[in-house]
Amino acid sequence: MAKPNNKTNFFSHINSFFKQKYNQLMTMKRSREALSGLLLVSIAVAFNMFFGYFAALFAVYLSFFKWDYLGPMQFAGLYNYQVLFNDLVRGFNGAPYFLAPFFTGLRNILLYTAIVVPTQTILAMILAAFANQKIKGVQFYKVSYFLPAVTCPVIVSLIFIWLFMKYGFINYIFQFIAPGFAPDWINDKNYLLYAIAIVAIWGTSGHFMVSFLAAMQSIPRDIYEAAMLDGAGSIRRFIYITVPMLKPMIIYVVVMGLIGTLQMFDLAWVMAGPSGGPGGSGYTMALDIYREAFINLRPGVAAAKSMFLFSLIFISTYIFQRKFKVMPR
Amino acid sequence: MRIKFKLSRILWIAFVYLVLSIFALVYLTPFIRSFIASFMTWEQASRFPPEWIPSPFTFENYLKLFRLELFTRWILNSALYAGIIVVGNILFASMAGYAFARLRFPGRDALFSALLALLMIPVFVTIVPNYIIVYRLGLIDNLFGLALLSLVNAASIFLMRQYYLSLPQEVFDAARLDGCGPIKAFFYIALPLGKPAIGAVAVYQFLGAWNAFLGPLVFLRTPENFTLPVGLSFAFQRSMWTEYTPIIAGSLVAAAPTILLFIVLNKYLIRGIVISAGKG
Amino acid sequence: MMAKVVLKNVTKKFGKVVAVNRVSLEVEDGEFFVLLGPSGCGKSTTLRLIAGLEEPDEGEIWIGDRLVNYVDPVKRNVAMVFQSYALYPHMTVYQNIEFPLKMAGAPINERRKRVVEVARFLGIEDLLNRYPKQLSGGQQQRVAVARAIVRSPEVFLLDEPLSNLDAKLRVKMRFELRKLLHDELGITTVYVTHDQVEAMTMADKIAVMNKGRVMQVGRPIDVFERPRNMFVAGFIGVPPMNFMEGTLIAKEDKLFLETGDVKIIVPEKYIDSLKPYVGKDIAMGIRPQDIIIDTRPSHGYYEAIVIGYEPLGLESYIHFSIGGNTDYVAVVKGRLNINLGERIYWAFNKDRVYFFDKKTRQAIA
Repeated sequence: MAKPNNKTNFFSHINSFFKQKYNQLMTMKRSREALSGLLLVSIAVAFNMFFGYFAALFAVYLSFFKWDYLGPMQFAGLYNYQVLFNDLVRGFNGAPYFLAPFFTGLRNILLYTAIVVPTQTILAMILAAFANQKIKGVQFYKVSYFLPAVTCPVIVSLIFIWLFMKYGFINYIFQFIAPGFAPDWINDKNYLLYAIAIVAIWGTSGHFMVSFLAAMQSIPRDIYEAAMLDGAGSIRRFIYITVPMLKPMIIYVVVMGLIGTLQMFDLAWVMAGPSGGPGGSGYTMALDIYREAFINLRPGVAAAKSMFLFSLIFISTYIFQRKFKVMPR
Repeated sequence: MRIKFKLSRILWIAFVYLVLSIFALVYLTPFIRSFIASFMTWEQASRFPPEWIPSPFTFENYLKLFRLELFTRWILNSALYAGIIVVGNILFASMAGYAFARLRFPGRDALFSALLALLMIPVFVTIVPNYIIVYRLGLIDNLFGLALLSLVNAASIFLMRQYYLSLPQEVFDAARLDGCGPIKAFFYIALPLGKPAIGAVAVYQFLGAWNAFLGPLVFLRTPENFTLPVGLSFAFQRSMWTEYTPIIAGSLVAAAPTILLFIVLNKYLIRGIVISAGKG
Repeated sequence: MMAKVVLKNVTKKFGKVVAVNRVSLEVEDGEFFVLLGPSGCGKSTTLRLIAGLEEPDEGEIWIGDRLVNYVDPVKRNVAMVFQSYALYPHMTVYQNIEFPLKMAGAPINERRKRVVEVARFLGIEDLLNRYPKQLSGGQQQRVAVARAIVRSPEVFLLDEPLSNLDAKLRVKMRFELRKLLHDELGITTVYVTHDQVEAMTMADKIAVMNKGRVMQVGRPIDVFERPRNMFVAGFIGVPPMNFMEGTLIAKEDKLFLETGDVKIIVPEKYIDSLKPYVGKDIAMGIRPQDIIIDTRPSHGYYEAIVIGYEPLGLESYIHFSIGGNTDYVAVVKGRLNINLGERIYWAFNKDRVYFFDKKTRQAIA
């Protein structure tokens, strides 16, 4: 009876051999896949982690040190933040621009944000509502409105400097609307910030209009029809249907807007100059951080100020999202 | 009754067209004015009330631009920089996007979320440390050093991953069954199939790189190495040409590639930007 | 009784396509009127014309004693339940139902009272704080109905409201909608559907439409028993009516329909009406339920070959051919022991047969 035994042994041996090989293959495949995956993402992850997270952490670290790029880094505790705080206090108590540049930058950028973000959002929404009517040739308007957004902000500022000159095109147009109103936008400290704000709104509202339009067009038509039959005229349909259903897009536009305006640099650099123009009226926080880092050569202070800016952006966008989500209707 | 109905309708449509057209003018006029003025003398361009027909019609502004050796260098620098960024993004973002979408490896989802979160960090936080890093690497005032920062943009990775996720799983399964290892699958399958998304990444990154200002301003030091936007702003601030019209002409030259690209591709560009806004 | 909704020669074109072609209808006050037809026949467009969501190119639309052609839908006092329900996704059920009252300017207390009343009426008062996306299809539909009846409109329009529900729910809702709208509220209702069972069970009157025209208007029983043309005859009834087409010939003093391989004798009572059609092509319509099948040859039965057999439980469908490419259906009770290709014998109920002019497709007798 040896033969049957041999046979069974033989088959079970083969069985376990194949099982083993299969498991090996599977784990080999899986680990091969894992290895390949890690390899493929390695460069992308490395670059981003290094120039992103590492740099950010370094910035936090740097904010606690005194340094001039050359010598050794000296631990300074909260010294840089003290500098920042003193600047704010001085400015708050009415010190002029050159004694409290950070405060000036902060004040200017807050005013600028308060003008630009609501205006560009509301303007974009209204224009999108108009474009959402059943009209032909919408693509032409979309292209025209979006064009400023694909152009370099610096280039746009250079062009607008010419348009904002005392005898430039903008004052020419104003003649028809408010005769006698023709300030020297670039050189007048009372108007420079508004000129920059106008350029910003001009540059980004078209982009947001296209975004709003797409969101509006995704609202099903029969919801509007139901509202019509429920007795809502076009304005009420806009208020009760369009705007609430646009909430996600509104949040996106405002958050993007806040992030962009609070750290605005390019426009101010060109239109006001690195030192912020007459009386520092075009000086921004971003300009101040740049100056701290590359003109005053105080990277530690610059890092501390960038932390402040980061917190400002984070808090404002967070508060907006919380408040807006809870809003009734 | 019928007439009143039709009339109010027509009036409303006319009003809509009016408002939309006025704003189209608002957005287009600066470009139109600049284009016209670039062929004028500064004397004529600065007249008030503004004039619309260049007389004399002159190419002098453009000639002044190109007579300045630096200007041509700026264009080349911008082109080179944009080229590096586009190539880098296409290569590495497609690899990473494919891997994040289709391969399993430890830490995959955590890494991806981390990359995405990076987009939240404002540029001003990282610019100074990055400057220090690149300075230590001896790559300041060097286009390649500048390119290191944006070589693989997290947004490009996101785009590529979204695209690869939308492709049917079957194609990749078939490749696996045919004995294709994951890396081979990338080159033979994923890359060719990824052309639409790669095209989109190329266009967005080109636009971003060509129009970049803060990075080049911080990382490039000598005028010979400037990119076009930095160069033009430099020229303006140093009053390199006593008149303003060459600056206008220079601005148009700088804006021309992006404008042309946009007019040709506008349908896709707008759609793409809107879709990513939806996901945001 | 004054008609509540009247359409006179209403036409609506979309570009070159005529969606609604000189349609005239009258809906009585309190009537449950159904527009029935295949997709693309213009029934939904007609409904939207009544609602004011489309403008007629020609004709008149009256609601009550008002000519409403140029009246904004906002002011027509017409309510509609859409196929997709069109609930406001960003509002709660309560706010959805409240909306028409809010637009009408009712004070908040009255609104609350009425909304709760209507919600209770439809059995959804527990859902008032939920959002539409949290509700099932049937619940969403009830909310849509609630929103529509909350302001007591003059006319109630429904656009295929049951097509998104599963079969069992559909049967239940058919009954409930009819009961609510017709029996309990007595509201003038215009209901659009492609499902003839819905039409037959719910309607006071049916208008059968095809390609933008009204093919016939009548009570369900009339439309079923006395179809005026081949379209209506073939559309109503499941399985559809069999049309045996051929030439009418006269032999001795009888008339025969020559069709397939068979000469069918025309029953006596129709001979007079059909006389003018001798030599012409006509179609004879017999409902599957009116065909009698036998497995053995009998006097007066015709021959046929079995080409299909569908046992459905209580009844079975027998597909048979009488030559050529013909394919007809007979319904028999229970099951039949036959095989494909076998010969069977059939006859028909002589009182329930229809004749149509093949060219004009109109009924002859």
